[in-house]
Amino acid sequence: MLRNRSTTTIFVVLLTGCLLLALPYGANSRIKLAVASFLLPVLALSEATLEQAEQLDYFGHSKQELWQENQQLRKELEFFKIKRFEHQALIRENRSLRDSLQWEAEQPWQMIAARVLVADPFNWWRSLYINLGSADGLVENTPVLSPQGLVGKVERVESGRSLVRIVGDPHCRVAAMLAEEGPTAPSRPALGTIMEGQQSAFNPRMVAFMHLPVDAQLQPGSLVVTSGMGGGFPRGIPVGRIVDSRPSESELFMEARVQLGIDPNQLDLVWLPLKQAGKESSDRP
Amino acid sequence: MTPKSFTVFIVLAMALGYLQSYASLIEGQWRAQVDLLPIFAAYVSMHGGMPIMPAAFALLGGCWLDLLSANPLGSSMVTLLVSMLCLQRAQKVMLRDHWAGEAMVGALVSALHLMLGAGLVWITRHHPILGWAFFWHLLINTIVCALLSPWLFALFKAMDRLFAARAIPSLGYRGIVEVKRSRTYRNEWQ
Repeated sequence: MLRNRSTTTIFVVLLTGCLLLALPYGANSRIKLAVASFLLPVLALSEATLEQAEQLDYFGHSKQELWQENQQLRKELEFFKIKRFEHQALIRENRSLRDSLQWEAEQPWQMIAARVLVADPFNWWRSLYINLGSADGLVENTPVLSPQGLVGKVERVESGRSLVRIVGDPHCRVAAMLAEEGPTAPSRPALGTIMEGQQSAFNPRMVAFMHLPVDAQLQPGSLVVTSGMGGGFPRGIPVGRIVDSRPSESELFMEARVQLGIDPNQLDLVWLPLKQAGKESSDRP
Repeated sequence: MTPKSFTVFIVLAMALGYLQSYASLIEGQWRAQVDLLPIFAAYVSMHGGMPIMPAAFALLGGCWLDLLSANPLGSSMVTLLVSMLCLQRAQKVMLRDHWAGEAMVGALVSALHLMLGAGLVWITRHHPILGWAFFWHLLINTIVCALLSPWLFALFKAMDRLFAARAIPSLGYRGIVEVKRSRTYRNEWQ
């Protein structure tokens, strides 16, 4: 009798797991969302506890250290305020040029900041969770940025958190191109795809730049930016720099190794551009 | 393992699961994220009895791990349960209370959990990044779990003792305090 009950319990749990795994990705994600909402209080509690623990860090700094940091930040703020005049002039120029060519005006982005909650516990994914969700206006496929460059895209949005796939994850491929730099820049930029490379698992900063034309001039150190093709990511966001290149096995394309501008292990705060019709872009979260 | 200690145990496991994802443990230096949940699974499997506690642990712990990762829901649940079942089958030939046996158990469950997890995610066509780095990840996890298992097992046993009901000392006949007297006891005393 006891043995029967034991076998039944184990069988039920095993069957539940197998059934969940057999579901299509979308259905599995929806069930995951439901389970996450059920465990939301526990997740919120864990997050709040760690936030409180982080605040204890305040006691570890001396007043002098904080004052010096404050001075440094003030200087940086002033520098960027002055730099903003230049950007505003460029925006005005861009707008007038667009008007003269009768192009559709680009909608401004409003940047919102998100804190990284947890990194993926398994190293076969390059993903992380951030503390913003659908309640904050986030939608799937929103690009995720940092001052060092492109981080990835939002894959799944829950009410209070979202799953971000980092560049280099098999689920986050980016249409990219070589940045046009200097007077010798080619008229037609070399377009390709940023995807996971052979070294991505060992070194999360190393990705592959594939499907490049054979005549592409791939110099080590060249900047790679998003091409904006496919509409997934806005054009011109820095991704990383080329390390080396070689012809592909079929010799129909060139491929290169790219070192990402971001370090996925050092991410703490990321930025998300949300399209806000009729609003001026803001530097503040 | 009492239900009370199991509740504390599972809360501890969930807190550690969150903390290790939050801190990324040693990923920065060693390129491998350490997961200590298999040690918990090994302990439940050996000391929790069948079937409720291992099944509950697999259900809750597995769901929790999957919620913190990009894994499809159910993968960690299945891998934890299968690892625990394998251990349950082999536990008669294991040195249960010896540190070497505990280290072996921790390493075994950690390796099984990772291999089954990667296999399941790969079979279900979720395209994980597998390769030599995965074997490195496996090696680091196995070593860390083997090293930490005896310590964590000692902690869990102490926790079990804390929550276990203590035997009330008997108020009746106690052999060790029996006073034996005879006619000549006075003489013996003197």
